[in-house]
Amino acid sequence: MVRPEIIERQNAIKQTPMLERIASMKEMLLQAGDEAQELRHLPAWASNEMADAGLYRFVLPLELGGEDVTARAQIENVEAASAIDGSVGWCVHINSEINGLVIRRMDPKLAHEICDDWYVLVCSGLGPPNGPNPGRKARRDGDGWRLNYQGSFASGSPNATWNFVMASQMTDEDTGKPPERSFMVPRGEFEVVDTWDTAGMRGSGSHDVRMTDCYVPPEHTLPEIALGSSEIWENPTYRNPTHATYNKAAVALGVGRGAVDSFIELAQVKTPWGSGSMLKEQPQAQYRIGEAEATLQAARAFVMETQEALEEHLGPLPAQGGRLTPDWDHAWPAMLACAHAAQSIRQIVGLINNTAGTTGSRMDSPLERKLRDAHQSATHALISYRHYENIGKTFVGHDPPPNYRQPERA
Amino acid sequence: MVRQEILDRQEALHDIPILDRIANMREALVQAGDEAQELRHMPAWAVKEMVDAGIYRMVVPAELGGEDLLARQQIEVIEAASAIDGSVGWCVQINSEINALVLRQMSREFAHEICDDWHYLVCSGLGTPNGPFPGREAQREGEGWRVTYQGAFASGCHSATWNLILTGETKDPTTGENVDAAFMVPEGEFEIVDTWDMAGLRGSGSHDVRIVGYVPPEHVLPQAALAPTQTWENPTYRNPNQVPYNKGAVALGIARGALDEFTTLAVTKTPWGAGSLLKDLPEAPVRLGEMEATWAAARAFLMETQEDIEADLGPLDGGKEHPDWPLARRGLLASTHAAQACRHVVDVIHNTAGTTASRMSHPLERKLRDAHQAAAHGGVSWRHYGNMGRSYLGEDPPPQYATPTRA
Repeated sequence: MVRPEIIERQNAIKQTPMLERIASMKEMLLQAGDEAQELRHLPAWASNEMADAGLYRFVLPLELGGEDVTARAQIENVEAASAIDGSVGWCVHINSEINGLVIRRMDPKLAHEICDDWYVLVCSGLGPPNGPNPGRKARRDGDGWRLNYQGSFASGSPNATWNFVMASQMTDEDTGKPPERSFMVPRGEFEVVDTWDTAGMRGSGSHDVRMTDCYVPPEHTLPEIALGSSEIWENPTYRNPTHATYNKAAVALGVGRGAVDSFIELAQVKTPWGSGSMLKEQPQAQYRIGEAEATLQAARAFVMETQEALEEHLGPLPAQGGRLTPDWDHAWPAMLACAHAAQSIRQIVGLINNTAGTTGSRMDSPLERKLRDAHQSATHALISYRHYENIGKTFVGHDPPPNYRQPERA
Repeated sequence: MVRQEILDRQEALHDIPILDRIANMREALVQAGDEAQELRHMPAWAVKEMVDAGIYRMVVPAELGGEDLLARQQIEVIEAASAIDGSVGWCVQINSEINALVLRQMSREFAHEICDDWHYLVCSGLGTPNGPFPGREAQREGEGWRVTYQGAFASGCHSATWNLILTGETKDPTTGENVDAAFMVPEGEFEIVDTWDMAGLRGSGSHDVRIVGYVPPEHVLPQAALAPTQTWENPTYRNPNQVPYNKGAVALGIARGALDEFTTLAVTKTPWGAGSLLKDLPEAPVRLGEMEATWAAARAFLMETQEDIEADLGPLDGGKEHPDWPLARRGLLASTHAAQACRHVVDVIHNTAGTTASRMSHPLERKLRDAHQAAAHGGVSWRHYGNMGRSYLGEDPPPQYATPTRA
C-alpha cells in the first residue's frame, strides 16, 4: 500500500492549485528547457523538481497519492507547461499519462507498490528500434518472462523509474504471436540507447530503451491488453480511448499559446528592418495575430468540448451504471479535435514565426524553438494529418479503423 | 399588456422543442428558400408559418409572449434553419434578433403594445441608401418627429410589422447634428425600395426602406436604444455580441448544410474520369475530415465564448451591465472566425464536389453564394481579425465594440 506520507505529501501540495505551481516554476522550467536542448533530455534536477511539484502524479487516483484530475484540468496543466517550453511540456504530458495508463488494468497491489515511490515516472519505448537491436521478443521463463527488446520514442527515459513494454509490440518466441502479458521493467534493468537527435522536441529524451535477456517476474506483468478500459479506477480518464491523444493536442495548444504570447511581446519592441513603424502597428501583423488567436482558441474549444462530452458520456464505472467504452459517435469528435488542434497549431506557429521576421529564426528567440516543437508534435501518429482522412472516411460510409478503439501507444 | 391569448399561444408551442419545430418545417422551409430565390424575399406564407411556430419570438421575454432563449439555444435554432436554407436562416436570425434588440431600452408599456401582435416582426434599414433617396433627416414636430429617411439592408422588410431607425442614422437639418433618438415606424408607414438584387442570401429581402412621415413621441426610443437593458433578465439583452454571434450562427448553419450535402453526394457520385465513387477518392475524405474539424472548432469556440459572457454578466440584479473586454473580445473574435472559417469550409467542400456543385439545382451552389455573403457582413467580416489583433497587441478596444450599433 502507498504509505500515508505519500498521501500527506500529495495533500500538502494540493493546497496550491496545479496551474499556480506551474506558473511559480516558470523560470526554473525555462532553464530546464534550455539545458534540455543541449542534453536532449530533461536534466535530472528539473525532473526531480517537477516530480516534487506533483507534475507527473496529477492523473493518478487519490488512493495512490495522485490528484485524480479529469481531462480539462490535465489539458490545462500540460498546456501551461508546454507554453513555457515544448520539451518540458512533452515530458509532463507523456509521463503523467503513462503513469496513468499503466495502472488501468494493473493489479492494484503492483499499482500501490510503484506509486509508493514519490518519484514514480514510467516511460515506454514502443516505436520501431533505431540501429542494431536485440529484436522484440519474449519467452516464458518459469513463472515469469525473459525479454529481448528495443523500442523507440521512450520520452523521459533518462529519468524514468519504470519502462512499460506492451504485448502488441513483441513476439512470443514459442507461439509467434504477441505474448499473453505486457511488462513493467524497473530502472536499472533497461538501458537508454542514445537515438533521439531531432530538431523538434529536442529536449524530450525520447530515446530507444533496450532490455537484454531481462527477466520479468510474474508480479511485474500486466494483462496483454494492458491499456484497455479500467474497471478499477473511477476517473473516466481510465476508460477514455483518447487519453493519449488529447495529451498530445494539449502540448500543441501550449506551444501555440506560447508562440502567440512571445509574438505579442516581440511586437511591442521590434521595428522591422526597412519598416517605418513598429511590428505591432503593421496592419498585416494585426490581422495575422487576430486570425491566429481565433484559430488557436477555436481548436482549444473543440478539444475541451469533446472531452467534456466524452467524459459525461462515459459516466461512472460500469458497476455503477456507466460505460466501459464510448460509442463511436462520442469518440470520433474527440479524436478529430485532437488532430485538428495539432495541425492548426502547426499552421499558426508557422504563420507567427514568419510574421516575426528574422527574429523568429534566431536561436535565442523562443519562436525559433516553438516552430520546431509545433512541427514535431503535429507529426505524432495519434494526431497527425492522416486522421483527417481516417475520420473523414467514416462520414461517407467507411468503417472506422479498428485501432481507434483503445490507446495503442503513448 | 400582452393579452393572455398571446401568452397561451406561446405556452402551447413549448410542448414541442423549438429545434423539433424547425425540423418539422423542413420541407416548407426548403420550398420557401426556393421561392425566395425568385422573389428575393421570403414568401409571406412562409413567414406566417415561422411566426406561427414562434421562431421570431424565441428571444422575446416570457412576459411578452416569447421563449426567452439564451445564446446557445438561439445559435442552435438559427444554425438549424440556415442549414436548410441560408436566406431562411438569415431571416430567422435577423428578425428574432431585432425583435429583441428594440426592447432593450424601450418602455415596458410600448414593449407590451408591440408584442401584443402575434405577428410582431421588426426590420431595420440601417445601411447606406441605394439610388435616389429623400435624405436621412429628422426634425422636431410638436412632441414627435418628422422623419425623412432611407436605409439599406432591411432584411425581412416585406413581412415586417415595424421598422427601426437607429440613433445616429439621421441628422437634424436645423442643427446639422445627429438626432439623439431612435424611431419605431409601423407597417404601412415605411415603403420598401427594391434594391436587393444579390447572389448571396438572395432570398432575404434585404431591400432599402424609405420613410417620409411623422413619428409620435410614444414611438421614439432613447438615444442609446441598443445599450444594455435594465429591464429584462435574459443576459442577451446586455450582451454586446448578440448581433455578431447571430451572424456567426447563420454561417455555421450554411456550412453544416454544405457538409451534409457533400456526404450525401459523395456516396452516389462517380466523378467524370475517376474510376471510383467520390467517397473513395483519397483526397475527398481528407478534405471532408479537415473541414468537419474546422467547422466544429469554430462552433465550439463560439458556444464557449457566449456561455462565458453570459456567466460573466450574471443576473440583472447584482450582475454586470457589460462583460469584461477580454471576454467580449473573444466573443467577437469567435463570431468573426465562425463566418470566415465557414466561408473557407464551404469553398473547399464546393470545390471537392466538382461540377455538380455548380449546377443551379444543387444545394451546394446556393450555399457557396450564401456562405460568402454571410462572411461579408460588417459584424463578422475579415476586418475584425485586424481589429481584435490590435487589441491583443495592446491597443484600446475600438469604441464601436461597446454596444451594438447595427443589426
